[in-house]
Amino acid sequence: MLYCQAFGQSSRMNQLPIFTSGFELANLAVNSNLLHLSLSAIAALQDEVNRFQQQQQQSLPLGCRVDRQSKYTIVALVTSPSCTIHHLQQGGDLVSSADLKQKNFPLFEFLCSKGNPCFSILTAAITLFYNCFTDLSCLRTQLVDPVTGNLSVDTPLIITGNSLGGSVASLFTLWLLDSISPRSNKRPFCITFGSPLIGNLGLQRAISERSTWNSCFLHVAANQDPVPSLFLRPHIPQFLASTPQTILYRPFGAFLLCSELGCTCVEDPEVVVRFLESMALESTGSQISDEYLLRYYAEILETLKARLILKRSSLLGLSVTDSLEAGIILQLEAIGAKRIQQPQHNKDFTNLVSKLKEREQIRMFNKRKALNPSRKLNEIKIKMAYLEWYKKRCKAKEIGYYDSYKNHLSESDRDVTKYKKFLTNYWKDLVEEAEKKPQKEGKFIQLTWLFAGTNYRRMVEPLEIAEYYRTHGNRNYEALRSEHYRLLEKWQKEDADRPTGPPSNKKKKEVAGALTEDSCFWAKVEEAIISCELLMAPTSSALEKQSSRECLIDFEKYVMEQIKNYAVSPEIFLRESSFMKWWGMYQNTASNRSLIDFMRNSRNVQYEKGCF
Amino acid sequence: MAVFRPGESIGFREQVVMKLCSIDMKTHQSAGKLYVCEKIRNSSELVFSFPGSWSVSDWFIRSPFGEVKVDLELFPSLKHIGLNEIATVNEAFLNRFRAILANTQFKKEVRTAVTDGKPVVFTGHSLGGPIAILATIWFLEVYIRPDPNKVAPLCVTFGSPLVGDRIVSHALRRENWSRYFINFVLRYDIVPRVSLTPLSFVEQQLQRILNFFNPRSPFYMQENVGEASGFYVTVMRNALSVVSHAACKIMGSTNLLLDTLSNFVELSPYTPLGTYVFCTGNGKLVAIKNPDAVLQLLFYTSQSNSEAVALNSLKDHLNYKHELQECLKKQSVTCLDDNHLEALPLSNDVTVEINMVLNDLGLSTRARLCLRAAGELEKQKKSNQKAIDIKMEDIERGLGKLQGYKKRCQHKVGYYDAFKLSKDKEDFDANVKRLELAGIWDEIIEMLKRNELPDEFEGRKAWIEIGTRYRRLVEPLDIANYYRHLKNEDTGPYMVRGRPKRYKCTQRWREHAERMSNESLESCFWAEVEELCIKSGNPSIRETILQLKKRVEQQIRNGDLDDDVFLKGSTFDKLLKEHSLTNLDQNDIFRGSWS
Repeated sequence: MLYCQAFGQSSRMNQLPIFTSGFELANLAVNSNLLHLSLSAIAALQDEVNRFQQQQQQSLPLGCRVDRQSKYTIVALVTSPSCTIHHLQQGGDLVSSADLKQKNFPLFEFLCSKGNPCFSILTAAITLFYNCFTDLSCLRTQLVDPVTGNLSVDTPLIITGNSLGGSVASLFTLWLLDSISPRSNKRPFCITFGSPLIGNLGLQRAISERSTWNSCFLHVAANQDPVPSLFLRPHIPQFLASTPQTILYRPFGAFLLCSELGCTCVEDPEVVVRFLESMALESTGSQISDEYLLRYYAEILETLKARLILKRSSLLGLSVTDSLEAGIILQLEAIGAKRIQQPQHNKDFTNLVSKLKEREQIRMFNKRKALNPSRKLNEIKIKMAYLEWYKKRCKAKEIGYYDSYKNHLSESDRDVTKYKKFLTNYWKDLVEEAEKKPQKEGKFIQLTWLFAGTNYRRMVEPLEIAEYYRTHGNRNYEALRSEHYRLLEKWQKEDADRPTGPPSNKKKKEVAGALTEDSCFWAKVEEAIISCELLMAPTSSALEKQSSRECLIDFEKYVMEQIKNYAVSPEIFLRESSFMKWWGMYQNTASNRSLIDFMRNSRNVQYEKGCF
Repeated sequence: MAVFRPGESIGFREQVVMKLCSIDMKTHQSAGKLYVCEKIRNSSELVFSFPGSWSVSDWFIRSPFGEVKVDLELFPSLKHIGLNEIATVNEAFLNRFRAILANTQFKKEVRTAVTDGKPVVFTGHSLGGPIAILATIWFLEVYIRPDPNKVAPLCVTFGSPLVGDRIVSHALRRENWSRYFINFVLRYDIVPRVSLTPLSFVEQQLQRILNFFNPRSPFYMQENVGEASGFYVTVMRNALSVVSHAACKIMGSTNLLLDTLSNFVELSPYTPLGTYVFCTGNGKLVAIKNPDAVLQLLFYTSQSNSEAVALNSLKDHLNYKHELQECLKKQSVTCLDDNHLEALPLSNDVTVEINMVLNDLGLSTRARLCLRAAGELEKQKKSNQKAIDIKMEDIERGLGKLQGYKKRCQHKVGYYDAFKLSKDKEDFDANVKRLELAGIWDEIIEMLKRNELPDEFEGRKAWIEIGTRYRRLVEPLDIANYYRHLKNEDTGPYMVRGRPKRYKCTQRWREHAERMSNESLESCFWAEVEELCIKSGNPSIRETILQLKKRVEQQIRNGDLDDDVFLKGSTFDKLLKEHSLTNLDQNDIFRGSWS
């Protein structure tokens, strides 16, 4: 539903009308035929693998086949010998990404990001993947064009598998997703049947951090199949509330949960866990063979497909009037959570419904809050306009906004602190968020934001520097520089990868109104002043004098470079500016010919007009 | 729940509807005619009835859905103005309508009726319905759009397939034309649902099904139960995919899997338009206007406990005359408006009054949830609209301030150049105002893009008017800002890549409202000047500048532009001087007209 967050209407959370669309999504999935085609591909391959095995009397760990159909390309992965629950339970612990790296298998290291540094994977799944790595690499080369980074198949690609085969399909899909260029709009779609959970919170986060990845997975889980809920609880003797998250299994991607009665589709991991839990109550938990389960899935899907267009009556009581609550109850009914609805469990059921309801409300609330960041950008622009105006007025006073703010004498200087704080908080948050994102998500910030960010950095960082050097004795700003300025500068430089030629005429002409390009320019001026003082102080040692002299020569060169590139604002030449103060102290010892010529002959007047 | 007499609620008289239905059924018999024109006895209406055509290629011109973008020359209103998207319609239907239009007799007969001030009704049963719909849209474009005071047409269809996509429905609602379309659909009638199925799924059967409906075919009403059942199941499945996808959207699904699946499934673009009147099959009528709800009902009303209804799904299509006789005898139509929808009871408890009719439509709890969501969405859009209507005062205030600024700058070099130089406090204040306004407008554009405002929004005079004033007054400031900050250096000319959507969109509003064919670019005048200044060294641009000058003079005469552009020392004035194109006499003429 829509929400007019834009104009600050604050409706209370429980008043918002919410619907759950799990049913509708499930309809679409079951109706699409994708599930049937995938399952048939798996079954056909399983038959073949079994026959092959009987003839050869040897076991291949993994069977795989690429099936190029008219509409889709389907890659099926099955395990052999058919894996049993026992087999799964044996390899039922998690192995961490750090361990994998240590054991020289860092293939999935790309899942780590600054915000989410590690993850863990089901041992049975990663072991099988590792053992079949050669085959899988071969398969990958068939599917991805290494030059363009696009999928090299003509039709939409489906990766599918059942049980542990499905787990390998998931891992393989992740690997493919990483191999594909983020610019490509064609991505594989992974469909698993009755697969166990294969990772912890770290894996879940890694996948949901990449906006498009999570939607590439659909896990089908039927209520008689014990495998999907097998690892809901960790394999440690005593399960405690304090059990660390890192050893708990967590789902990712979307789940299609079904029974003979119906199906629903859920994405929120919290909700998936709760649904799997209530389904686990139904499953027999006994040792069921893979082949049986495969047939079971085929039958269930067939039944569902036939039933979808038929009307079903619901047990929904008359008392339910809330849309969300009704939606949740219908979903629980559909996945066959019958037992929990029996009278003795009545309280459990009510609890479950209200928990699911709350969860959905929170999710919806967060989604609405996240809407539309561009409104904020306009607020930012207004604050920037205030600073621009401040800069202009300072210039009229022959001092420049850097020094005016440093001296901090008037009311308007104090107002500026307010704007500066607002802007800095905003950009710090934004940069922090952007940086957490995985590198491959493409450009860190969109172009518009990067322009605004650069503008912000050039306008506000000088104020930061002024504040820093206002305190006497502070040195070396650049070493302590805030991380967000550093990153904004880095991203800007990465973006502007074209070579910087000589300044254009237009740039020269407009230099009067432009901001100094190097946002740390004033820090360099301050350091030059300090060096100058050291150089002239009688108390300085010879060593100090020597290094100060070197710094100053570098600085002269730097300034001249900036001037030639029309990269500094002519405001630095204002009478009261720190730069002029430095020149006043230094001019007699200056060594850079061009700079001396420029300063002595007041070429800054021409510079400002763009004709130096 | 309100129960109305049909006449009050949806604007027609029951006798007329009965008569139309009979005419339509009879029209099918008239061999070789493109349409039948008839007068209703004891009534002033002139009826144009369109017969069905019974070959598959008259419905689906190609796989999967045979849609085509409309020709804006023929249907200038069928577009989404804000998003700048053109509507699509079924190409086979469009071709058939064009053939009728090419028949000069049709145009002439319609024109005579209009001249005589007679109300015109377009009508059709089955595959005649789409032609009646297209004819009505054409009539509205040709006669009502230039002169809303002319007698409005009426379009009545019975068991019609769907004609156009979401944008057609959106555009009709925006123009306030949606109310002229009334579509009767019998609960199980398969025909309106077939439009939701890709051709490849029904290619084998469709011709035989059409023969079943064709009164001149030897297979007319020859029952073949087995075939009917397979056909029903296929159509319903595809309809379910479409309505499920739509339901996810109206429920505000956050699940990105929806997008993934959409790439794998062929979803019909067609969607209902106008008012729908569903016949329950036992003498009751339910009228509904919300297009999202109608789409859901197309699936859910013909959902049943068993596939045994398959034969009904064919028979119902030929049963309108009989069914309507029953319904109109009872003279009761239930109207479901958005307020009813959002509060629909979820259970089928018969003690709730409205359930008498909802149960007759066969609505399950899930169907009811979908309808609730559709009603809720529309309500939410209305409340979003209310919220931005309040913002209109802020816009008005901001414009007032900037108007004052503009006036004061008249004594200097004009507000464009004053703003570009930004020397004084008031220039700075103007900049803040500009940014505040941009914030409000960007928000509105964003909402349009996300489809969060009612369809009617872009047709509202007050917004079109304030949008034009905003664009004319403030866009020059954006241009000044753009060139002051040298954004053209890295982004390119303002017009190519720098122009904000808020101006493009409001410009299109005006162009549509005033039925202008050429672009109304007066607010971009300064961008043109700036680009010419950049090329100023090139003497060959003299002619271009002269052309611009002439055009500007015309725009000033029309009142689309103020004459302050000629103020001494302005960028334009300098450009003219540089190319010795100033003409003092003319300037004086405009100076005088300044107020």
